Amino acid sequence: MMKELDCRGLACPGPVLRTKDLLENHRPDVIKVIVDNEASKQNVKRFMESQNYKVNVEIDGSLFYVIGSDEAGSEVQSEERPAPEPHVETKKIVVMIGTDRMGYGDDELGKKLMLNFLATLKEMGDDLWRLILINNGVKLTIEGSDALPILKELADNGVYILVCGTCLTYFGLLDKKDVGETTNMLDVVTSLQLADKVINI
Amino acid sequence: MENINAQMTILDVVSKYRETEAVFKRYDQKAGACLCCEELFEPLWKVAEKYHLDLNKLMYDIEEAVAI
Repeated sequence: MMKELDCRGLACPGPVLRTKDLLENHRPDVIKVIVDNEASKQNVKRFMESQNYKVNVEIDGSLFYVIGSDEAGSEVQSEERPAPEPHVETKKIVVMIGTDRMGYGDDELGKKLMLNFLATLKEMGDDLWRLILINNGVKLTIEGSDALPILKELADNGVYILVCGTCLTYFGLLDKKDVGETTNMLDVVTSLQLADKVINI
Repeated sequence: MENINAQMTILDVVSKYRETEAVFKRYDQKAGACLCCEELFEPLWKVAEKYHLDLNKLMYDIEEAVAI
């Protein structure tokens, strides 16, 4: 018996609570939970493992498919998803940006350089995995920012953009963010851990 | 109502008493982290220790939310 839970749009602890309910009520042989953020992926995976499920995670753009199979049951089957994970054959490059301008000296020049840098990032192609924006870097994501169209284009092309929620709150910009996913330090640390290369600006 | 104790994990508490999720959200800012994201499987005492939260106050707030 296979059960699927679509937890897109749910923040923690929502996906874990729904998974818990399902496992307690049905104990399926295979369960697939779809989540759209790193923290939920980690927590759902950890919860399934605590319930003696063998867990695989598939990544598709910004979505995570957390698939567990009962250890006593059959092996995990990827439900007719023979295609390899999109990122398996490519490098996973994370670019972490902690400022809205590049370098020191002249602020106006620095802002132009940052726009140019962001626009050129697409040359990394599929290797560009995630963009993490922290501290002053979150200002690039808000309404009216010149960087917004560039970041939206990157997001549309599958780059997962993580925007520090604590930083947005600190600057009073939480409601102004117009691109990317509001994130936390666990997402940041996990991204850095999983990356093949981290570029820090 | 089952007694809530500091050995219970955040998941133990919110899964039994969904209304307590709001309490943890209130503590996110004090902690500087999303507790339900990052510490879901940790016992309350350990969470309080890690983020320098007042455990007695946290327990009180949780029990108050459950009692309402």
